[in-house]
Amino acid sequence: MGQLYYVYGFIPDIPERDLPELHGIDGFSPVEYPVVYGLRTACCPVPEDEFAEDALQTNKENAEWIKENAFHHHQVLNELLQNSVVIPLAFGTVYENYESMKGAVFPHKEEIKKLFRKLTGSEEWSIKIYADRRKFDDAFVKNEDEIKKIKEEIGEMPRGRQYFALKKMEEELQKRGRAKVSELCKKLHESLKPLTAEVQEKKVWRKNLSGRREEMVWNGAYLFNSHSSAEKALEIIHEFQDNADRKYPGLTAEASGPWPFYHFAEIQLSETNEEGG
Amino acid sequence: MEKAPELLSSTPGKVSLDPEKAQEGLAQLVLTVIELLRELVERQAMRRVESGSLTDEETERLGEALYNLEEKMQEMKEYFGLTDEDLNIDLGPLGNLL
Repeated sequence: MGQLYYVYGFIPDIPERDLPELHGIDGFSPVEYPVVYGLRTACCPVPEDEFAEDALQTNKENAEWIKENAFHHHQVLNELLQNSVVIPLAFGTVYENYESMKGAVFPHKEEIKKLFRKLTGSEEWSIKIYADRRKFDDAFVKNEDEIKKIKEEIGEMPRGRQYFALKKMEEELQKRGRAKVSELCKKLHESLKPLTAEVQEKKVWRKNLSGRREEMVWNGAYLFNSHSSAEKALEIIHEFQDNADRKYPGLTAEASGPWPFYHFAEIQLSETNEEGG
Repeated sequence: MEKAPELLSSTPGKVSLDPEKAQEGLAQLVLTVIELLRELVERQAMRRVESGSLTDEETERLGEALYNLEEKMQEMKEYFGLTDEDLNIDLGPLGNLL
């Protein structure tokens, strides 16, 4: 059975002693770090029957296969990140052999080195905010004087009319609640921006993707200038959470990182057997 | 109304298709359809009230009926151990049903 060349990503040409000893996708072959045009590629051999173009396409429809292998891909990149800057490639970047990989890297070698310079010292973090709508709306209602007054007025109506008035009010409250959540998220985002070199506002995930009961109301990727900028950002997020707990219960801000630079180091390699970049 | 003994332990937004739990899945599905219809009726009623095409007496009677319907629905949900989210089926790219 033939073998192909799976590439995780690129790291600078650091000394061999600093390279982590890792296992490749098959679980026993080591991850190798050949130097190509002055940069190291992190790669491993993979079986052709699993990673050739057609097979890979079929496997990518298998959620279990994706979960296992994509997690491995991430783990390797994460290990590399402990010692140096890493330019990740998309999961499933495969070449026929060393020469074809080298050929694909050639046109991008300067771009990759430029990215190393740009990203060294910085950290990519993900910040997500979740809202427990019921909890948030209940607290929001209690804090708004105008709403208290409307509620009193509704209480004096006959039962049938009360129904429509309450529904109308609920609708209005939801609208105002959504606007408030959005305002709070934007405010946090703006206060983090000065600490970053780049930010990406991302689509919020639906509940089946996040696996949470609460609604995701903010999703952003942040490239913090330095480790201390990331620490400062965590303090700001902590303050945001304290303030939310006091005034707007139901909001939860979560920061995770540092991540491999999935959002800020996009490299589109050509001549791959699969989708590069 | 008493609660149905361990009738439902489903994942929110998903209808159980396990043959042994068919009863649970069916109850969830039926209540989901009823809830959908109830909300459609409610929205239509709201539109009519807001357009001013109903007299005060008609508005009062309609509101009273919808109040009772909502209460009944709440009882049914409690009986089958369902939450609002259980009735909100995820239609994938189309979003949630309710």
